[in-house]
Amino acid sequence: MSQPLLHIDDLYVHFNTSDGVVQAINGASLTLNPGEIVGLVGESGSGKSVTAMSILGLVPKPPAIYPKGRILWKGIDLLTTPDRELREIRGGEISMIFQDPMTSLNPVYTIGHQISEMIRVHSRISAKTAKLRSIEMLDLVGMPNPAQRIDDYPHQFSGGMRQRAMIAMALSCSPELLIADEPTTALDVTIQAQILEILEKSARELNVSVLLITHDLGVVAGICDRVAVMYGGRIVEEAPVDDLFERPLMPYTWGLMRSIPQMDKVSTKRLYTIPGSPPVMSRPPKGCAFAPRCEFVIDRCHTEVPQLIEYAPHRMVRCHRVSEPDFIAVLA
Amino acid sequence: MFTYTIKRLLQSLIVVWAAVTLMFALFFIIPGDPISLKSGEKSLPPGILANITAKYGLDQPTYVQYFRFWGHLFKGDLGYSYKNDKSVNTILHDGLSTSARLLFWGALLQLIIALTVGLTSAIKRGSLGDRIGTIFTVGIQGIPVFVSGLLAQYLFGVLPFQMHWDWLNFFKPWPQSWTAGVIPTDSWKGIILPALVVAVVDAAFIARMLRSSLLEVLRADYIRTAFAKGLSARRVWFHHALRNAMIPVVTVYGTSLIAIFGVAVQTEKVFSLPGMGSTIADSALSQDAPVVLGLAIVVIAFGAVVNLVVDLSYALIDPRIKIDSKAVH
Amino acid sequence: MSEFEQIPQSLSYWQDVRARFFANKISILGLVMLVLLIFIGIIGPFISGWKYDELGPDILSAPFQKGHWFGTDDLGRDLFTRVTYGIRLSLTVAIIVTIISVFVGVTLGGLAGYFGGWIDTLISRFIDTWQVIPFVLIGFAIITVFGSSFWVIVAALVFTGWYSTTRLFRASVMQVKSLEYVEAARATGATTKRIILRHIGPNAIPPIIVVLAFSVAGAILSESVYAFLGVGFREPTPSLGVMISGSRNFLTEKPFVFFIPGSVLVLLTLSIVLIGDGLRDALDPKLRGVK
Repeated sequence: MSQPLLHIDDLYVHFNTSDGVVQAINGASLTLNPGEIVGLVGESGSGKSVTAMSILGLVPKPPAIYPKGRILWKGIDLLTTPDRELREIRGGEISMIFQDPMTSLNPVYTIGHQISEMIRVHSRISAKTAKLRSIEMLDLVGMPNPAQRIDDYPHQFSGGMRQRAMIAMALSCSPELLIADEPTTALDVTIQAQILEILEKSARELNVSVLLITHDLGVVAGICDRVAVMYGGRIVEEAPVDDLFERPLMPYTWGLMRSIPQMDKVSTKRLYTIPGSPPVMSRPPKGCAFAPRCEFVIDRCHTEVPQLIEYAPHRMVRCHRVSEPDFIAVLA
Repeated sequence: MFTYTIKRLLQSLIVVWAAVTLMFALFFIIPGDPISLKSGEKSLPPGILANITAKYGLDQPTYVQYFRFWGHLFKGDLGYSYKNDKSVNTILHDGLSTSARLLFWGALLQLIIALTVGLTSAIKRGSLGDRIGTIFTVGIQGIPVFVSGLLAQYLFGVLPFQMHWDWLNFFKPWPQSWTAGVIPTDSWKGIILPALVVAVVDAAFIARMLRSSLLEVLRADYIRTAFAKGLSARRVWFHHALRNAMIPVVTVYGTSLIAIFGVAVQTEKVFSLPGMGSTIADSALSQDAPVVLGLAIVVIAFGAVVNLVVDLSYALIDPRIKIDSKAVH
Repeated sequence: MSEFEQIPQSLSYWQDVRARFFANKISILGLVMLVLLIFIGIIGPFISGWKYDELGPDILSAPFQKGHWFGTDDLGRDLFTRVTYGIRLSLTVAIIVTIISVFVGVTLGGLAGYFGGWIDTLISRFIDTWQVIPFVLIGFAIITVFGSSFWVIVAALVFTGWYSTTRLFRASVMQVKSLEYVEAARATGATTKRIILRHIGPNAIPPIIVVLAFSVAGAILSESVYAFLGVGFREPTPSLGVMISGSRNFLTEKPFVFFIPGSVLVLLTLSIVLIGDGLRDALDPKLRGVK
């Protein structure tokens, strides 16, 4: 492929708080190509949301500081882009949808107003045209009766419908990248699948890249082309989705997979859980962030941060033991 | 919106009726003694006494008095003072123009100060100005209006006069000697200081309310959405945040508009303004029930209108209100 | 690893509240101010050497002269003595009024909030009615009819303050009532009495504590307003409002007659407001960080 759409290069994000400096991101790198759907997976506190918010410059500074790294959007570093230009990109080229559709829409304006507002910020068109475009977008995401519902307020919609409206809004200015931050977490299980399907369908139809942030590997398996796993503020593994599920290379990914309930296998054993708790990011471990919880830990893990290496084509991993063939066999 | 308005209107009528009845009950079921008021300490011949009692209708049973009272009220007749036979309408009319002027400028200044201070301190939170504003708004809560009124008189009247600070000679020409309440109040210059005193206490409170309400709203998810849409900070502040932040503020502003009467009474006394407040204070002291009741009715009606306007604007700002009132109960 | 074992100990709620309250410099300032004022109020009359209504020979003498620390008023009465009595009077009246108001508020608000239905409608409508009557008017009306004795003034102040405590307690009970653990308690078959006393009561307490502070401050203010307007305490009762009212004519020549009782009144209410602010922030951790 040609130039990547988005390239996050060795990003560091720290927060100055009253409890000290929280090192939310400690050198995260990620690349996204046009038209690709990439999953960013991790537990809460792993830094995945901060990464996403950083792309759009939505992390308030202070308390956040960016000591190191770049976020390259088609070659431009978003971290140093002035606000005026960043605003053009926000919504216009990169748009975002959030976890809780209940609270992500302004309660005092109609859905139509909120979608049209976004369209009119990014293109010089009349209110009438913007409204027609909004109806079109709502129709695209499968909202019934869009022409009437456009004048309804958010509280008149169900959670699933609100998230559809959010997706419609996010796609209304034909962005090149859609960041979806836990788009289904707050929804009913039955609605989750619908929303994911709409997300994937609309994205593929409009040729929009998606960065899907989630803690749920199941979500990733359904719609992503590629997955990056994040732990303790770093990407620990990155692979095409099928490869990752077939053979995880990093003990954390391996643990995550073992902790998914398997519907098709009858098991008498208890479901696996990863021991311990996530690192406290105001006092991150010296070595590998996962070392204190890792079953395969060696002395070196506690003292030295492993590098992200290319284990095989398109397969990146951050672990000291990937070079041991026996170890890889155990994980498979 | 129409049914909502009608419903609220009926509710306020009921509230006015109940409040006026409450006041009536207080004054007339336990009657004052209008006769001694007229005669002073002298005892009157029985014939005259009966005449006076009949004149005010006090010889009738309470319920008759009550219905008569409403009958007169519908005709716009508030009765007659026990003290000097003047009609209550005339007495109130005399005081009303001064009070209305004071209240109008007071309420307007209050809104302007509250919005300006609240908005700027929220936008520039943590700045020196914000900290001074916070100290000021917290501090002023502990100052009763009559104290701030006297203080204002001292600082802007007495002191400049005594120190010959001509740059502050706002109230020029200086009076020959300064005693409390001789600021000329016939021009707008005279009304501005009392109006500021009326405004400033609740303005501080509303400003604080607006500030914390705005800061809370700014942490809402939909504000993040608005920024993610590519809107300018100004647009997010004024279009998305302010309207939501105003919802609790409107209620507080309404409450303060009702309370502004008490503030005005104190201010009028401090500045010796011949308004309704002075009238009611004098009448209460001389137990002149019809005048107090008459004014009470005016004030209650005003309060009910304010409440109605607040409720309706509430519904205009927040679309959820109408639906909720239908859905709940 | 040892560095992970230093997870901060979880404090109990009230320990946490105390820690938060004492970490707030402004509320400490309020507390210190209040303690000082109470101390002066208690010992003042014993050390001044004057009675509050004793007419001395020196009229309007300036502070720190002729044995009067704060000077004298137009009748030659010792201002220090009168001010200390004023503190006593303000606080006594305010505390009595607050106790009664909170009692009324907890009872009516609790009833309305817990049972809802017609009880709630009745009480809420009554509050709506009451709210359109400005507080000064209530005082005027009561005092027009009953004159101004100590207990009438207390009653007038209760009538001006009861509904805000009622409304607040009602809201807070309704909020707590709908919380999940109360639902859970009800599901396990707990009795109404037990639910109110064990589950709702303790959780509705924090707002009551805050209201307590603001109610005391409000009662002090209202009492002084009534006194200033001539419908509260009257001469020679040493109410701060009475003293300030009497000082109006001397604002030009002897401003200290206004400034001394005026600043005591302001410091007194301000200290309580500051404590109330501190308590509110300390009791409601959600509001922490809101600056």
